[in-house]
Amino acid sequence: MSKLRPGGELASRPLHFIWILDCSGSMSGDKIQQLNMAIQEALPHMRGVADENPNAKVLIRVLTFSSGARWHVATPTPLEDFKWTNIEADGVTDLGQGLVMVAEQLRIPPMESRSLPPVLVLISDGQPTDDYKSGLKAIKEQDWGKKAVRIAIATGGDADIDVLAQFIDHPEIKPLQAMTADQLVHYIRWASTEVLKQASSPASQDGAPGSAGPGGPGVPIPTAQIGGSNPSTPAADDVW
Amino acid sequence: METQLPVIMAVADGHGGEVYARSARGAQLVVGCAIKLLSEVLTTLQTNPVSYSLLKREAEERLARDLVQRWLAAVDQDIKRKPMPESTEDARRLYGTTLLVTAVADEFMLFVQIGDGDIRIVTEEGEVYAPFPSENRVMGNETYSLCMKDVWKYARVRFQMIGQRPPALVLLATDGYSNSFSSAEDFDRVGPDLLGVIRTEGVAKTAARLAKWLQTTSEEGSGDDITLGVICGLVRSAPAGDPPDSMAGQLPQDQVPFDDATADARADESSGSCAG
Repeated sequence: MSKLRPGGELASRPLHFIWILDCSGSMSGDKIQQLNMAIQEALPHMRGVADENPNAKVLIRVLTFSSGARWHVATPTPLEDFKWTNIEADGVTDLGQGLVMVAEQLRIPPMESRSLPPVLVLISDGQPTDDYKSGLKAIKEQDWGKKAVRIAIATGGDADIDVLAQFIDHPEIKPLQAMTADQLVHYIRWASTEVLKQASSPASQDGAPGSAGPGGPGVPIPTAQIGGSNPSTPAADDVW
Repeated sequence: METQLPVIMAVADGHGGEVYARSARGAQLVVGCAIKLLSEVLTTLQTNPVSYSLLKREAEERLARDLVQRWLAAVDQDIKRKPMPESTEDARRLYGTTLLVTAVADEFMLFVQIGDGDIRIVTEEGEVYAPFPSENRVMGNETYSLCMKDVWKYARVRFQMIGQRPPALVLLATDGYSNSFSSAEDFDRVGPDLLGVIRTEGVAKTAARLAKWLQTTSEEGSGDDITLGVICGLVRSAPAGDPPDSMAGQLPQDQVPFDDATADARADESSGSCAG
């Protein structure tokens, strides 16, 4: 036995954070540039949140979908080692295939039953062009898919909000609609910090809303404020 | 000092947080209810023995439901003493907790589990086994709870006969403990390691070190609270004049309660009353 305590090796609990990103042709230009920049800029803030809770080991992956789907970052990468590589946009919107690929990774194994609930963040600007319902079903057929914290961000006014709501499938959490670059940055920052913070808190931590129990961890609802003040109506040129 | 059978131990883990604001009280109440109910069962058996097959069937069919009903009644009494604006159903939710219980008698062991947590049994030879397999229904900080409607349907109950000797050690742990280990195999080493320390250093010294061990484990593992109950040194009750048959070569031992939410049958019942 270890001189320090009974039992074998100790470990923090894995927390898988998966970006599911629309790289269809309609995302090209300003939208994909802003998306790349927003995720890149969110990383130091994510690391700050992760540092506050060393008992959760945050592991990042990125899946992109356009014509087909592929893992942009396939290996669960420790947050401290994760470096963002820009993605490009072209093709259609095969969301269903992307979700099926994510669902395969939510099986046990490779997931562990001792993990914290995974966080899935879907960002899309349009209508799925494949059988997205099969993808949603595949996610929910996995125990970790059902228990995952699912967030969706629509970029621009053409996204199918109903599909995004079906992905989230939570009575109190609605898709976020980013109509400008600032709003996209704001929502990505929120998803990658506030949601991460909530998902990584130990169940018994004081002040953690929701905590353990039948409903699992609660998810804080984002506000529409940017920079602490209510956003004024954006200029027409700034709106996607 | 030996731990003479029967012994009952209960461990409960209140959910905590703002949503379950009275869960510490809920945990206290369910521990009291569980010990009282199991004590009644064992006492009734002494005066009115039944076949073990009947006992097994009764336990599997009724024990969990009786336990949950007693807890709900106790919670409702507590709510009456300290009213709140929520409806009864919403108010009960505030008391949400899990429960692990074990009763070890001369010839059998009985286990009840509602929600997450772990029970491990260690034989004299150091082998480890669990009365219940791990299940994916409870993971990721989500768990069945006493406050859920009809939760007794999801309770796990196991009755098993004891062979030649009682187990060397039984441990009940909240999920923060197993979640701190890299693997199930790493957690399963806890029981034999504890038994080894008890055998070499005795119960008192082991108990004195346990809080520090659990703190280290939480800090380097899950970060979650840990509650651990351990029963050891079990000896069958024997007719007068017959020596106990399981203590040769072993140091004097005793059971080791460790937290406010654990108790054993011979300590006073927890300060919460239990209706029924």
